[in-house]
Amino acid sequence: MKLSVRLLILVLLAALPVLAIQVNDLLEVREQRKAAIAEQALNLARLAAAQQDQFIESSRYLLAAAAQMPEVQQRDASGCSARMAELRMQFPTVSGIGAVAPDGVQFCSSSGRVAGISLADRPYFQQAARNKTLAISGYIIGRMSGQPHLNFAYPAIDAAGEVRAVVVLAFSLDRLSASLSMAPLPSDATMSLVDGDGVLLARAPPAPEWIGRRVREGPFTQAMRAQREGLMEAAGLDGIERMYGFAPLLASADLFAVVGLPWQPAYRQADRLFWRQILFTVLAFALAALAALVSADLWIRRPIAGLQGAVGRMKQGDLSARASAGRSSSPELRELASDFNDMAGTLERRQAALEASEARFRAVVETAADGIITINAQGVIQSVNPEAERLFGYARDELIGQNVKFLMTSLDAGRHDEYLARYLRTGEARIIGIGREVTGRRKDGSTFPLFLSIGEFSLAGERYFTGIVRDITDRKRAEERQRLLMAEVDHRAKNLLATIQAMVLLTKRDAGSVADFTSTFVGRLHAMGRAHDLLARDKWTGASLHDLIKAEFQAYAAPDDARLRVIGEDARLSARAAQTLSLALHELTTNAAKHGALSVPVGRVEIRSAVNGKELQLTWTETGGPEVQPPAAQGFGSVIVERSIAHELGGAAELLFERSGLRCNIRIPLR
Amino acid sequence: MKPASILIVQDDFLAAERLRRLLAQTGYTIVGVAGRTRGATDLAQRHHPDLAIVDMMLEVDVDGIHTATELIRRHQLKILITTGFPDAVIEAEGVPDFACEIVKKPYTDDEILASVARCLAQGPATVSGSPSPPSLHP
Repeated sequence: MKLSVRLLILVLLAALPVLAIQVNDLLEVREQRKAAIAEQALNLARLAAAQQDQFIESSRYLLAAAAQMPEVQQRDASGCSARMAELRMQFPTVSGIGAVAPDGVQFCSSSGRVAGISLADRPYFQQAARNKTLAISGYIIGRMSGQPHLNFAYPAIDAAGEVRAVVVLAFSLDRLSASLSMAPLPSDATMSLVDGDGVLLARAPPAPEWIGRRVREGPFTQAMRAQREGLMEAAGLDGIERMYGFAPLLASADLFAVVGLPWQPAYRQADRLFWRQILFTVLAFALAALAALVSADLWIRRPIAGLQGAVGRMKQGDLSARASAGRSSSPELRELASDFNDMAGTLERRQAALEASEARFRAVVETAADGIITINAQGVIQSVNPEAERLFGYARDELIGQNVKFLMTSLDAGRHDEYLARYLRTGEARIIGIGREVTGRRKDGSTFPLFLSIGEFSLAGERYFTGIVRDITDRKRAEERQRLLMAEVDHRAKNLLATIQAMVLLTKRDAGSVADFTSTFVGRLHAMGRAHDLLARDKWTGASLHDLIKAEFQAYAAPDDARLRVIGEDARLSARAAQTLSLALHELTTNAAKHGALSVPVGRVEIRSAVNGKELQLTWTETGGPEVQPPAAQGFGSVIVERSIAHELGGAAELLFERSGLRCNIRIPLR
Repeated sequence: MKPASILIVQDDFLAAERLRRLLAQTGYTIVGVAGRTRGATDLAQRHHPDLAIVDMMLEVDVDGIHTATELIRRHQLKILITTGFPDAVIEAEGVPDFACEIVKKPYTDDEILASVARCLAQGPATVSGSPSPPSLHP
């Protein structure tokens, strides 16, 4: 429910008791007014009854005086009528006065006309004649005038106490009504005279049409008969609601004075007052409601709308949203807004820190040199980083939502579900926390070795596994190369040892002495070492022929020694050829130094090289040395020169012992 | 009794020459010394030696294993392998399946002579674990 509606209900609730009190007041005022009216009506009725008693008393005096007249006593008709007419003149309110004989026959009248009318049957006459007191008629229609009257009868008694006649005084009810009307009455008030039968005798204001009519038999007449004096609330014959007060006359128990006072005007006045109060009250509460609404709007709704706006913006993700309660709002709301802003500030700072941390973390993952793949407990891929995409050749969208099995070879894929289920069930880890080498399968179907390490974490009650994968193809190749290299090094070393062993054994056969053996062996070993140096310099890819020759010469002569010449095209020798040729050249050079051209200062050695198609041709020519004699027995050096090239290189070497100097032709196939 | 004939397959000249001289001195007939498979098979075809001493190597165009299996396939020779390779490689290459003896380099004269004698004392050449030699390289 809206605040404004609640406030209105509150104001209404506050107004209700006030209104109730006012209604209660009105009812009370009405009652008081009614009671006052009732009292007034009863008093007026008593007053009217007293007046009527006075009137009846004066009438009695008049009748008593008339009854003493001799004309009446003697029943002198003409004298009586004359006297009555005089009397009538003095009492204008009397409509007629006359006398009746004890038998009821009228013999005298103020009007002078006596038509022998008999009143013998009239109860009031009978009562007066019998009781010898004043009797009052009640409502009757005059037998002479035919008009409604109230008649008084009074006996004329002679000295003997005999009834000589009965004097009758007639009052016209019209006139009675008129005399009643002389009394000042409030508007719509009535004053009436009613007889014991409930017949209306006179009424003010005058209402001739109702005179003679009986008041409706009912509570009114019952109350009159029972209480004699009292109050009655009823609608009059004219339909107006009145409070009727009634009081019996002292002169006659059968006559009642009735005063009716309308209570509506009194009510109307009270009502006017009431409605004015209601109006003021309603206006006051309307003003209060308006003030409440305006202040609620100003002090509550607007500040809260401000807060709501800020909250709404924050809900949309705008953490920079701040609330303003406004200067007119209550301190509580200003404090609330301030607290909210503090909270928003804290939230914003925390969010910023969180985002920064997230961004750093993301950057680490996104730029990691290893592939990072996260799966859930079912093996479904949750996230991958760019390196993982690159490693497996899949785009991120192709990976997320897939089971990680499809990145494995069929062997591993078949076992993966079981591994995962067993780990989740028993905690028995095969890879998790250990890491191992596995085989990955790329999108193109190719496989590659990778090192997989797996970490585990829980988030919101779910278990996840993070696999970090590194392509170890290069490492595996390097390991394989290393393995082969180690085997090769081992192999070469042993071959070298075997070669040197053979060299020792073979050199020993030709050696004349230990010194001879040592120098020859060490020379050969050095030749092998020099070839080794040259080859190592070019990482065993081969060696230059001329470099090989120069290195060999340098072991025996200075670099600028003019006795040595290398002519012709250089060639690139294989490692094998370089090693073989190195030893052969060593043997030739040693021989030249010991016995040939290099044993004398004027000797010359010329090496001519030429590449002929796929073949290298070398010519070793010695000149200027001692005269050459063909050797009696072939030395091992010659064997090396002539046969090692054929055996190891598939080439040929030929030694020619010419007199001018040794000559050697060598052919080596080039690859 | 006619001396046993031996073929030497060894790419290193000095090692081959040393072996040749040692075996000849001991009394064996050396039918030839080959540095390569082609030469070796030619010599084997021509002389039908009793034993081939084959050096196992990698650096030449055709390796010792190839030479050995070629010789067995064509001539049903006994093969004695000399090698500088570690045991693992020898095992991996399946050398024990066809070699009557394996001699690690470097070796002494006595070692090689004893191995040669043992090889020659054995029955006809077979390839263990295989019904026929060609099955090694189908």
